[in-house]
Amino acid sequence: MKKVIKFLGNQWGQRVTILVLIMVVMAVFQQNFFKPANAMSILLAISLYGIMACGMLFVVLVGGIDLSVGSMAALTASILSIYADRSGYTMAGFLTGVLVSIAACILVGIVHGILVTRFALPAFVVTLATKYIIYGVVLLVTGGHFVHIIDDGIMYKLGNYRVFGQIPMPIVIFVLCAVICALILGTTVFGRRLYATGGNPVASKLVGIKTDFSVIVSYIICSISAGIGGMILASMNMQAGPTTANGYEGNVLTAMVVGGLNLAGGEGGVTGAVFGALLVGIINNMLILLGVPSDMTTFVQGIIIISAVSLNMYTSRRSQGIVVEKTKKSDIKA
Amino acid sequence: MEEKSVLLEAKGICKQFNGIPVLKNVNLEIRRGEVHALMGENGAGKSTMIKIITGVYTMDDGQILMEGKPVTISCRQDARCCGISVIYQELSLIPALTVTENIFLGQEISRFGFTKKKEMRRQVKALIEKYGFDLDPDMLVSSMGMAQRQMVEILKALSMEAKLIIMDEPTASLSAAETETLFKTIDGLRQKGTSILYISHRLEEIYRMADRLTVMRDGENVGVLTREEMTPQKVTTMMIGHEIKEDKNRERRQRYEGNCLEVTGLAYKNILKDVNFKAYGGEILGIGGLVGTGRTELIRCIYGAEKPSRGKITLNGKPVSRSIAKNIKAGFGLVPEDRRNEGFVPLLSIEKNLAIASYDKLARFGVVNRKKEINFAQEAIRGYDIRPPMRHLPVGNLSGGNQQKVVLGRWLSRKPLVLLLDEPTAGVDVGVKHELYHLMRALATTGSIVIMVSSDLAELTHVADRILVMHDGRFFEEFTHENATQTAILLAASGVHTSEGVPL
Repeated sequence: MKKVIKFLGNQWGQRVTILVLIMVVMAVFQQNFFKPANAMSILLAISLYGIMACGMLFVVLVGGIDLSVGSMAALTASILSIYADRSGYTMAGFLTGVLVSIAACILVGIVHGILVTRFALPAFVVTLATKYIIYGVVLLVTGGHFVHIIDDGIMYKLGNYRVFGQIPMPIVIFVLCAVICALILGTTVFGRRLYATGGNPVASKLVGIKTDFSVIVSYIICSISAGIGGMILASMNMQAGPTTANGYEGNVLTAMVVGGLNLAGGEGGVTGAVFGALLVGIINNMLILLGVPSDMTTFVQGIIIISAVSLNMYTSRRSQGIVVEKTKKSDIKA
Repeated sequence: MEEKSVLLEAKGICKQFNGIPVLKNVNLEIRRGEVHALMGENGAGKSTMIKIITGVYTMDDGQILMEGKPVTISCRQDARCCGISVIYQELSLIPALTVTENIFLGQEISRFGFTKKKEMRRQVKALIEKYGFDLDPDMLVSSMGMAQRQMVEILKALSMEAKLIIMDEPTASLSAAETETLFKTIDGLRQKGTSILYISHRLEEIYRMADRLTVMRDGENVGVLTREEMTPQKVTTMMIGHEIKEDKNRERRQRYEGNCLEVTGLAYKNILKDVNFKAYGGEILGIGGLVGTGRTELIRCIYGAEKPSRGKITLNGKPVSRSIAKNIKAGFGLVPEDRRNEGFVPLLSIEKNLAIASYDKLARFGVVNRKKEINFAQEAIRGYDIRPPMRHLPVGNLSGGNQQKVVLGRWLSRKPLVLLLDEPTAGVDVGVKHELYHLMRALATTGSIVIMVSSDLAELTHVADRILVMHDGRFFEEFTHENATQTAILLAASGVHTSEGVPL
């Protein structure tokens, strides 16, 4: 039993166990699951969440949260669509749209970061509020209508082009984002300082780290990744508007939690975020293949979150360590 | 004066932790209506003793008598029933509630699940009038100062008909005026027949308030003094005991006058008033004094972690920056007092905790040179004997001593010009302690300035070349290594000059 707990307590142990379980189920009920085309469709389905999760990872590492990613995606989708549409789908129009979108992301990230650090407001509240504000801006920008994209050039290719005739563009961008984020976190001084800031802000300040800077940059990265997701989504849907990417923050957060990331900060990496997104995608795919009605998927998503967190809590070394530390004899008696 | 009857008597209390005896046959006798002081150095067993009386710990052996009758106190509720209440340093009040609500918290008078507010308010009012406190039953605790909050705590104790109130360093967070109010309150309680067990490091408070004094040392009680017998010399001698004569003729290090940190006229809030000193390369400068006299604030000001309200800090003639990052580059390092919360990042590996302050050397254009980082960590792990020698292990999993080696090693590997240490060996076992001393000495020998704040008197007299003792926000007395004795340092910390030191 101890060995089982130890194996399950290891993140990779957990991941392998879950994957094996799914494979066994699918091997019995639905062999189509193992076709390469299905793997591609799973990846395509999660690529947007995956891109956003990579950015959200930075915020989660410094102990924050960003609920505005869905609305941020809607905003960049709308901005890009409008610029592309008004310019008559020229390259210049497209690029201006991208630059304005990224600028908007940076602005929102800075606002988040400053409110969280300088004004010491809870990230949850700040980003909940900005979620509504950004949706409000989307409504103003679009006039409440959908912007339809009629193009077969870059605006179409961004979300639908297949590299080598095989791999959809969003997957390529997803992989690229994951690699860049992994490099930032793993090899740069900024990455090292980010982990330190998330793990112990007081100690970090005392070794000369500008913790506020780390946090602000994290929010910027998060907003940008959400923005990239939104722009791709506009191209995939060939339209953008107020309901674009509605509720995506929930899916991204699910990916984070299922990936075993510690929402208190300081722990985790790109593999966790990517694996989380992957697992959610696989389970959704599994439900579809098994013929579970689509009305059930959200229900199942909730169950998955609770199961993932429980598994983490009961088995991971960290949670055990904390339990041991916190329940001293004196506390029990009091 | 007639002899007051005995309220609480603890006889032959023994307590072990993991086989290490912490209390050895301790006796304590508290009489009705007296202020009884309990003194002793850190680790003498005072807190353990209190925790046994209040039922937080159970004793291994011994007996507690309350008004002559033996009682068993095995949980906090038992202690409360016996009429024993504690007022802790960190208060346990809920700020969002009123005085009345706080006092009746958990024992509300109620009928059919509804609280009887008027009845509770009436009772609180009666209590306030009885003891003459300056409190309003409807006041919110969040709007009160520390002293008033303490009064609410005392009131809470009295509402449970406490006969003995234990106060653990009650003046630590109070201003001088607030302390005065507290003393008046204590006086009032004494006259009404309530006993107080008063724990404090401040001798002057003890002389002022205590009727009798029990001194503890190394888990034993050394003696009980009555008011007439209490003199600073006697108390300190009892606290420290027989001092082992140290070999004072140890090897002297060379003083490098070229490396000099100078602090002039430094003031910080109302904690530091006027601090002046010079520290030279090659010496370990010890800073002594009682906890809360501003020693930590002083070194944090030097390091750039706090902003002094007045004064000048210069290193080799150049003013020291107010930015920690710049100071680290200029050769400063700080080992903070609260290791767990301020010293390291528990989830990060040994390697990354060691390297965290040295990426100016281990990275180029913001990208970490992995090879250099690994080498840096491995050299440190080997050089400072960090155990287990596994660079991937999270520092939170190490023992206290090894955690401290990581925190210290982070700076040693940078060869700092000035290393500031705040209680460097607190919570570290004896073997590692000496390793840490050795590392500090080795650094000083290379010409660095080492400044060590410590409450451990043996450590100060053993390690420091020069000792400055702080009292009341200023340096009060200076000792050389040769002349320093633990008694003299302790007296200086309490504001008593001795022949061993040089008054400043």
